[in-house]
Amino acid sequence: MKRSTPNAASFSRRNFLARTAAFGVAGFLGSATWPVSAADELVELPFANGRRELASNFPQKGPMILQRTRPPLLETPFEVFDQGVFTPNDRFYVRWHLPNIPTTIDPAKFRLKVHGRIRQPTALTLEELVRDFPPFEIAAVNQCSGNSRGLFSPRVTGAQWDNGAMGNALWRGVRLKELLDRAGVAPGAVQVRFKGLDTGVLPQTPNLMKSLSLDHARDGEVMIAYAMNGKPLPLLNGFPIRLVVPGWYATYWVKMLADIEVLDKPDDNYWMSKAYVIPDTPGANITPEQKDVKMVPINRMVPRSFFTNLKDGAHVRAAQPLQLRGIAFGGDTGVAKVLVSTDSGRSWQSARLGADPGKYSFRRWELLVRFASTGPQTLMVKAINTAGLAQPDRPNWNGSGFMRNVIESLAVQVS
Amino acid sequence: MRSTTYSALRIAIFLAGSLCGAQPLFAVNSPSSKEEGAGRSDPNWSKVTVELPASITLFPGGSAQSVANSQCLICHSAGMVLRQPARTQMQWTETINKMRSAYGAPIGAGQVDALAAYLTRVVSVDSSAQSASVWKKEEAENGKNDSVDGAAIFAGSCAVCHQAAGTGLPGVFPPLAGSSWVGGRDVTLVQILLHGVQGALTVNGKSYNSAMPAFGNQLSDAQIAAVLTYVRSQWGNKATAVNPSLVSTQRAATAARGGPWNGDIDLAR
Repeated sequence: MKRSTPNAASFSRRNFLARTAAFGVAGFLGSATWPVSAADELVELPFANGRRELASNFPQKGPMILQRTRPPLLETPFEVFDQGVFTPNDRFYVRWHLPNIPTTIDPAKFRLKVHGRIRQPTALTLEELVRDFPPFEIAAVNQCSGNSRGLFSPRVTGAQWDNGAMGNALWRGVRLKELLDRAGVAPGAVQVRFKGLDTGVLPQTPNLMKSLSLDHARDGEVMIAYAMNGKPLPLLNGFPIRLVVPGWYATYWVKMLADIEVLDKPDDNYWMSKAYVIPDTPGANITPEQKDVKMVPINRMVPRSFFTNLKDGAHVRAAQPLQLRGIAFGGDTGVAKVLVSTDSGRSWQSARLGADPGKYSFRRWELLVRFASTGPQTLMVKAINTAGLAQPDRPNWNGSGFMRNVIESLAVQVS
Repeated sequence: MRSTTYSALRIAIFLAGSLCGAQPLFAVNSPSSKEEGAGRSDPNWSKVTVELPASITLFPGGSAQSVANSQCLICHSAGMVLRQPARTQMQWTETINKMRSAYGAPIGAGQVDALAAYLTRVVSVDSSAQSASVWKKEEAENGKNDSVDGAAIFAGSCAVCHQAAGTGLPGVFPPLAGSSWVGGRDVTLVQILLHGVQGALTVNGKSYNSAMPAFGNQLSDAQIAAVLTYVRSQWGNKATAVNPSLVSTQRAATAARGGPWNGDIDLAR
């Protein structure tokens, strides 16, 4: 069916919201951000023009914040991140650039082409991919370059995401290195380029292609995933296979991967040279007035941390223990420390870290706190990764809205 | 190979169930514990078919509305634009020119200023809400009006061949009542109306070889949507409504097409 019937859709939304609300009461949660009106299919993201529908009519997906219908941009409602460190496949965010997305994939006919500067050009079936290479698993965060773009000030164009354009999964598949070694990389190779099955409507629209250096492609971590959290990938997350580039922004994680080309010169296609470029400055941070900045392709992620059991504007009780919890990730390496402040950043306490599924994964943190006095208070959380990189005190800015990772703050009312 | 079609409803029910119960601290919702065989076994490669929802949001009224609806919607739905922050006309001009140069949007140089002025006015602090309300309003109106409009268009343009009760004429004109085409993909039906069909076409197991004219030049997007919605809800047919924005998008996407579709060869897949 094209869309679920109104009854089915509103049933599931109501159900979802009812569950969330019930959970909220139990956990002292506020409800400042949503729902916004009697029409319970709407959510209000915390920036101007932030009203969104909660859509339940996308295939293999539960309720998602609708950023764009075609091609789909679907954001994970932030409550989902409180459920655990792995983001369920049916709530994992979705981001496509080009509108012609195959809606039928027949694995029997699917081929992964490997060609270019290699000795043995080949077209692998999925069966061969699974059978001929040892399986490899890694937990890794997939985060859109523009996650949290809606929070940029001054605002910039692009998908106006809140913080939910990210997710963490256990990816299973094969190392790209094994595939390239089998095909035999020829002398003169410098980069490896990846292309999926999605295309534009207009012939002039450039196909989405992303490239990694040969060394990076062969680092033994970059992989081709055929399973996500133990299940096939949802079609909108790249079924049947997608590239996984641990620690790097999702723009490189090409979905419905069908073509791998080994290049003998650096890729200058539109998606590498014009789109997804950042100022070559610390934190990709410039001022809106700054001109003639050297730009480079976006690359490694930076550390982030979030509260998941409290929302901005929440009401909490004084003189009673309150369990704060959330998630953190280190970017391109593990989380060393998560620090929490309950006094606007004047003092910081170390949070307890949960199980470690691997250095590229989300990690849980938790901390028991008690507010001595009543009134408004600001909570903050900051991650420091194992390379010593900490989240910055002030938000970065660039014209594309990339790489936001400022320390998160929540205003709460203590009563 | 088993074919799997996912329904949003089934997934919604699964999801509602999965949200029950409190979450213990540090619960790692282990990906391998959710369903049988997860994580450790080789994938079971089943064919996957999904249907993506079509946007029914159109750009609201204004001088350059038709340019926005005919050009912007070729590649993306309107909601993305209506959810942007408020911007100056100069900023919109930059964006429109990027769409033209980077992505090949066929917006004429002479249309840029009017389109930028239109977007500057339309995209505001509450246009996302407007988009949501437009969504609901259109849905309500489609439900109310289509049977009236659609029925009239059907009687005037379709019934002469397909017959008033949608039965067609055996061996000559295919039936619409109970037709798997009518109950199938809305996009295919929109394309049939826009461009017509020639050549052998199999309907419910019987082959027809008549020519259906193109209606793309005679009927508006709203009229095509209305008559298809009517046909898909009559004589026992129970398929979803067709939205004008889908027709608009499909019309734009295949604007260059010169002739009718070639029956089963082009349409059955």
